[in-house]
Amino acid sequence: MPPLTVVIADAERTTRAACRRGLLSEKRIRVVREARNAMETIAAADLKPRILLLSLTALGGHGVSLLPIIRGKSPSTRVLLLTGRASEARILDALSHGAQGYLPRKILPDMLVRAVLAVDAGEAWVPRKMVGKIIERLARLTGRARGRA
Amino acid sequence: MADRGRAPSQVLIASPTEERRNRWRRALEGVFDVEEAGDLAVLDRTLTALKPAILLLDLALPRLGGIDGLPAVKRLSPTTKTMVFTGHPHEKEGISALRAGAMGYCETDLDPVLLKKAVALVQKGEVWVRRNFIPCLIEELASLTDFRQKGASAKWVSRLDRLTPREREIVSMIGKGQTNKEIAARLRVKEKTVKAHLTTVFRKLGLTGRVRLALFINEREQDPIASVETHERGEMGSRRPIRLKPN
Repeated sequence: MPPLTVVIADAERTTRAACRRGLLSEKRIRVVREARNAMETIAAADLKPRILLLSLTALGGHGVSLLPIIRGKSPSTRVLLLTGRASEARILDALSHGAQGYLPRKILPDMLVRAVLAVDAGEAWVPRKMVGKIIERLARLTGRARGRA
Repeated sequence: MADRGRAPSQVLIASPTEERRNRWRRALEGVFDVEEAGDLAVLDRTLTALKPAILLLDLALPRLGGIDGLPAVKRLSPTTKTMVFTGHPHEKEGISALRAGAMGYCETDLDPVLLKKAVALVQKGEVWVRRNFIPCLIEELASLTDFRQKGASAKWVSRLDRLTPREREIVSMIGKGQTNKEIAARLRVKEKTVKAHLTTVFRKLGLTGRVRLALFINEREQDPIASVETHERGEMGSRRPIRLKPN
């Protein structure tokens, strides 16, 4: 079975280390690169990892903007966000730009393998409560697209 | 939400199939106060009269018109949270149902234990869908967002005209995430030459910082070198440069 390649993108060394620790238990998973800033993350997209663990706020605040770039360079990469104090709106933005889920940093290293495997399998890793917010935003976007309230 | 003591919430079950109504009733009885409607006329009357907290709506209900019947149902009782049930769930319908205000999109033979859980969650104000439906919702959100943003990048095209070919080369490499050192090596110039070029580029494009530059380049989805060449080729035979109007 081919390895499940992962790139970890977060400015905080402790977070990156926690991610590595969290992923150790699953032999299939291979961390192929750690990115410490936005530029390194862009470069890492060329590796076309299966999963990108992407800090939403700890990359100079560029988290969301990086998503279209990554999508363009590696459409098959699935993004799992690492969140800290990110607002719900920010998270929704990230989901709207192609992230497939998010995990609060303070939960690391627990749940990380489960989240990574789920996202690899095509699932979204979001709490149920977020579903309503996604729909609200969908409704708002459609309203504008159609040109009526 | 005002708590009127321990009175259980009212759930209205609307399905043409008696067996289904019984099954759903059995799953919810004891926790919820259950009423039934077997056809559209009864549904409309009961909705208006009772304004139940929750409606379990079987899309197979004759004359409902499937999802299209949702707005009318909502009008009869705006406070009622509607959960839609279908024997053949599929993505597009589910998305339409949720957009039309449904609080749940489920299979008709949903496991009774899950059904009870789902109704309880919807009562609390959450939306219930199958777990593997959520990626579809996110995909839909992403595709709508993409659509809205594509219009924005056209205005930037003319700005690249201001750059020299060398500057465009450097910008293209920044867009790929390369460092000044890597760019200098590739172009066989000194690193400080690259930095000097960058300062000029930032000024010409009105951007500060290489990350913003990288984002700008990638947002346009085109190679800055190729795109300007195409642009220039279009100008052959005309004296005035063609400027694309910003949106």
